[in-house]
Amino acid sequence: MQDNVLLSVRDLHIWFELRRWVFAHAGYVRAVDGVSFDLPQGEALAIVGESGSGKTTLARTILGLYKPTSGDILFEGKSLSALKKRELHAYRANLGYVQQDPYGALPPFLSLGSILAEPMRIHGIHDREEQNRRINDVLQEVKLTPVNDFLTKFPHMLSGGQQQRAVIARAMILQPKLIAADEPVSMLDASVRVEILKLLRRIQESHNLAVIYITHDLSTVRYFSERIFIMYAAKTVEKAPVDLLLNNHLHPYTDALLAAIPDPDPKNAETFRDIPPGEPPSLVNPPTGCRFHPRCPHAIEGLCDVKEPPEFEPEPGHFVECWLYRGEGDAPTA
Amino acid sequence: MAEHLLEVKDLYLYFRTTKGVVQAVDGVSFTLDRNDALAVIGESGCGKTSLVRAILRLLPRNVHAYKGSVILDGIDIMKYSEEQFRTKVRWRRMSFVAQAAMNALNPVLRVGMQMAEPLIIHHRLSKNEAMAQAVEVSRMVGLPPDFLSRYAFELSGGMRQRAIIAMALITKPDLIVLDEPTSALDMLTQANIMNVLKGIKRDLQQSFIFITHDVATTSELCNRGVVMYAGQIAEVGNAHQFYLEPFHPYAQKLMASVPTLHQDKELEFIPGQPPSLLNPPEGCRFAARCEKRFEKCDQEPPVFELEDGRRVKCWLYERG
Repeated sequence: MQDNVLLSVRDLHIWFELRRWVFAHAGYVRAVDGVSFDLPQGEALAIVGESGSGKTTLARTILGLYKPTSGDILFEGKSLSALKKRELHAYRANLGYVQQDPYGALPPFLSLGSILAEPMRIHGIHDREEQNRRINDVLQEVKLTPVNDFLTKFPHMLSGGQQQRAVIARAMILQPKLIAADEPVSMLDASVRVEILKLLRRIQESHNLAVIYITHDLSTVRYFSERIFIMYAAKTVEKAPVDLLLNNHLHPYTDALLAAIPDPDPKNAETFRDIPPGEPPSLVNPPTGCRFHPRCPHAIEGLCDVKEPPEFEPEPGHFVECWLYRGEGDAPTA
Repeated sequence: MAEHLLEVKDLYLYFRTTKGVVQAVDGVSFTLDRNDALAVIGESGCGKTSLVRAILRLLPRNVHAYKGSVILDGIDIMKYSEEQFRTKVRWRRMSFVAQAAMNALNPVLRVGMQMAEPLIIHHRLSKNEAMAQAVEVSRMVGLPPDFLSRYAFELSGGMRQRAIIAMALITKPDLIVLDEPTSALDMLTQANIMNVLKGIKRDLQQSFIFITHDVATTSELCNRGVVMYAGQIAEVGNAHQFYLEPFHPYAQKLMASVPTLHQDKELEFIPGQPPSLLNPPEGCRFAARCEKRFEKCDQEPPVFELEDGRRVKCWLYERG
C-alpha cells in the first residue's frame, strides 16, 4: 500500500431496501456491491459507467450522504462508520462536491457572495476578513472576474459555464482534500466542456487534490484523469491507469464500451458497430455468476454463469473481474 | 421528381418575448437530397430545434415572424394552410422524433397501438391493417413483435426509443427529422440505435435530418453537415469536409473541442459565449470570439459558395 493514501474504500456494499405496502420487505436494490480501492493524495480517478451502474451512489456514500450496508470507508486512515455526528460534520469540510446540474445545485435566491460564504459559516469560519479573502481567492481561481461584479449576481444571471464555475468555487472554498465531481460537464455545451475540465484539472494539480470524477463519457476522462474504473451493474469490472485501459483493455464490457464510442469520422457511416445486445441487468435480481455473462460474447458456460469472478491482476496495477484472465492456480474446481 | 428532396430558402423564425424579439432562425438556406442524412450541430440556443420546428411547422404561440420557403419535392409547403399541412405533409411526408420523445409515450396505451396510430389517422387504415404494419416496422427497428402488446413502462429506454423511431417510420415518410435521438440513452444502447438508423438508411434509402450537439454521434449516420451559430448557418459541407477539414473558424474550433477516444489530440475550447439572439451583434456574429477576425468582419458576411461545393459564411473565403 502506498503511504500517501487519502481515501480507502474496503469491500463497500450499499443496498437500498425495497418495501411493499410500507412495511413488507420486498428485496434490495444492490446499488454498489463490493467495491474496493485506494485513492492517493493528488490523483484524479474517473469512474465510468452507464446510468444505474452505481457510480453516483458510490460518490454520495464517500461524501457521507448514505450509510454503507457493509464494508468501510477510511479517510486518512480513520473509518467513517466510527465517526460521531459532530466528527462527520468536520469530515465533510475535507470534501467538495461538484454536482451535475449547476443551476439546480445553486440556491436561486442567494447571491454568489452569500452562496460562497455559507459553507464557511457552517464550518465555523466567522471572521469577515478571512471570508472575503477566501471568496476573492476562489473566484480568481475559477476565473469569475472581476470578482466584485460577480459577488452580487444571482445564479440565473450566469451562463451555464459560469454557473458550473460557481459550483466549483463553492466546492473549493473550504480548501478540501478531495473533490467528487458527478458528471460535471454533461449539462454543458461541447465548447464549454473542455474549458471547465481544464479548469478542474488545473485546480487539482495546483492544490494537489484528489478528485473522483464520475461520468458516462469515456472520451473526455482520458484527458483529465490518471486512473479509470469501469463500473457495470454495481461492480467495478476493470480498474487500470488510463494508458493501460485504453490500449490494453481486458474486460469484454470495456471492449464493448470502447467500440461503442465514435470519434467524429466520416467513415463511421459506412460500417455497423459490433455491439452486444441487451440492457444492463436489474440490480434487484442480478444474474448469477458474472453480471455481464448474458451479454458477453466470450462467456464460458458452466463458469461465468455460475460463479462470480473475483478480481484478477493480470499485470501490475491492472485489475479485472473476469474469468478469462484467471491464472493457473486460480481456476475454480467446478 | 424535383432536383432536391428538400430545399429550405431564407427561412426566418422570430419569437416575441417580454424582453424583445428573439431571432431564433435568421435566414437559413440549405438543400437535402434523397437518401441524404444531414447533421445539424451547434451549441444550445443556436436555433437547431427552432429550425426543425420551422420546417415541420410545429410552432409555439409567440411567433413574431415566420417566413421563407420550404420546398418539399418541388412544392412550397409554406404556402399550405394549416389543415393542408396537417393532412398532406406532417407524418405523411415528414415525421419527427422529438427530444426525449421516448419519455412521452402514452402510459395507458399499448405501445403497438401508439405505433399504429399515425396510419389510422393519416392513411385511414383500419386498426387491424395498421397493427399488421406496426409488426413489420417493429421488426425493422429490432423491437420484438410481442413487445407491441406491452405498455411503455414495461420497456427499457432503448426499446422505447425503438418504438418511437418505428412510429416515425410507419407512414413511410420521405424525411425523418431526429432531434437528439440518443442523448438520453446509455452508450451501448446509443450505439445500437445508431445501427438501427444506419440499417434503415441503407435498406429503405431513407433521408434524415439529425440534430444534436454531439458531433461524434452524427458521424455514424450523416453524409452531410450544417454548423449553426447564433441562428444562422456558418458552414455546410459533405461529411469529409465537415468532420475533417472544416473552414469556418467556428466550425474549426467546435471540431477541435470534441474529445476523441481513439486518437490523441490537444483539446481546445472557445472562450466567451454565443451572442444573445435578442440583439445579435452587427456584422459577423462570431467575430467577438474569433481569432481570425479582421476589419471586414464588422459587416455581415454573405454565404460564399466554394468550388468543392461547400458553403461558408465567412469573409476569409471571399474570392477575388
